[in-house]
Amino acid sequence: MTAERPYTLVAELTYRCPLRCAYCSNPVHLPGRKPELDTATWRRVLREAAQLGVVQVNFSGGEPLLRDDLEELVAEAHADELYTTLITSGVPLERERLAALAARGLDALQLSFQDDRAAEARRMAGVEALAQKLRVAEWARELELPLTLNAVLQRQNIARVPEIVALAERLGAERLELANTTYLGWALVNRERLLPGVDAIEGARAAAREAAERLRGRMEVLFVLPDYHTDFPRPCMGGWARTIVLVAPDGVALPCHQARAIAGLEFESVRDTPLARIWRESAGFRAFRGEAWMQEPCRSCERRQLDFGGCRCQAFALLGDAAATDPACRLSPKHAIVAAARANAGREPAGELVYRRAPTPD
Amino acid sequence: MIALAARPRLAPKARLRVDRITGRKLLVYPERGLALNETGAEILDLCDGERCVGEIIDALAARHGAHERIADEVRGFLQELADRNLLRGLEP
Repeated sequence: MTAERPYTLVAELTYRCPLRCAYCSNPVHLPGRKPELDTATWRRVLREAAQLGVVQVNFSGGEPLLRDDLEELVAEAHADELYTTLITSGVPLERERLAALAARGLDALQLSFQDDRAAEARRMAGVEALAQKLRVAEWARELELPLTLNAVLQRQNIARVPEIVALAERLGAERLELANTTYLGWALVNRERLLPGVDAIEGARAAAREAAERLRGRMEVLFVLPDYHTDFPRPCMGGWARTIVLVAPDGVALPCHQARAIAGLEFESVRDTPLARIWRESAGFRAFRGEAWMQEPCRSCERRQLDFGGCRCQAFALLGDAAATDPACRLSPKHAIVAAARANAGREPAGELVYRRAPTPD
Repeated sequence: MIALAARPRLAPKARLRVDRITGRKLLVYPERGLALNETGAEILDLCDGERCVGEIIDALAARHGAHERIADEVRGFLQELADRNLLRGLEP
């Protein structure tokens, strides 16, 4: 089957980043990685994406601000009628550059936050960044750029939801994502040090619900449960190659951030294949589209159109079989793996974090 | 409930455009998009920050009749957008 069109392009402009967050979703290893795409190729990709039906582009990374051509890419996206969001750590950024990006047509800013406390934020990111982030949020407000705060939740900050909400209100954010860590990439390396216990999750969930009610119509508050703590898996990426397409820094087009980690799948590069052809015909994109690939219990499950069998990358990372039911699902025959991690979560001291590095080629 | 005296306009973060694939109006905002039906597109065309909700209802009822049904549709639609923080000018 083919999916009609993607709505969102995630343009991962670079894997370079001044931060070293222990929960980073970038791949840990990346065999055969090529150099970053040049400006002309990214501009072509943006035009092709718009033709294919994409309406949103998220410039992400790594840290997209490290690309000198970001202004030019924002201008191209704007000319292609794409709604452009910059997903950033805010480091390094000056007010003049943010103003220039806004003038070129940047529509929205999504700023990551590790914690509302400087020392804890530094421990998670591996560098000092909180004060700079607060400045960036202030500039966004002055420039009338819609601001989303994205706080990745884990053991250390899970009890801070009320304080993080208060910070987002003070900064004038339009939207607050309280996103529990997804345990892939570096986060899987650090899972025992990051995964919160059941009680902590419940407390955070209640605080988020209260805030969402109180702030309705002023600030959208989104709380994403960690799939280790739900009975059913999350509808990863809204279904494999269904509404989102991602282009990695070296040009390889993917259905999600982690898809290259799945052994046996082949993905093409936008350097030599048009995006539309990749979207429609790539074997890697077609591998888990629709339902034909599903095994039991997914194949006959009435929830299969709600969660699409969960996350393929998680099935591969934890079970070695990307076509298996996501073990986060309680109906998975291998759910005990996730249940054991959940039962042990938060019991042992967190220990030393393993910090992110740029993906190694081995 | 949206007041009849409110003079709604789109929030700066929202962009109204034509979808290249379907030809229909699409409201795009951070992380989301909303495909509009014809009524929704007609309502938003009138949300210029000048007209009040009562005038928007009257204008649409003049085109389509059924004043009471139109009034419910307009206020329901605008409330949905207001809940998503997509409108300004709601304080009469």
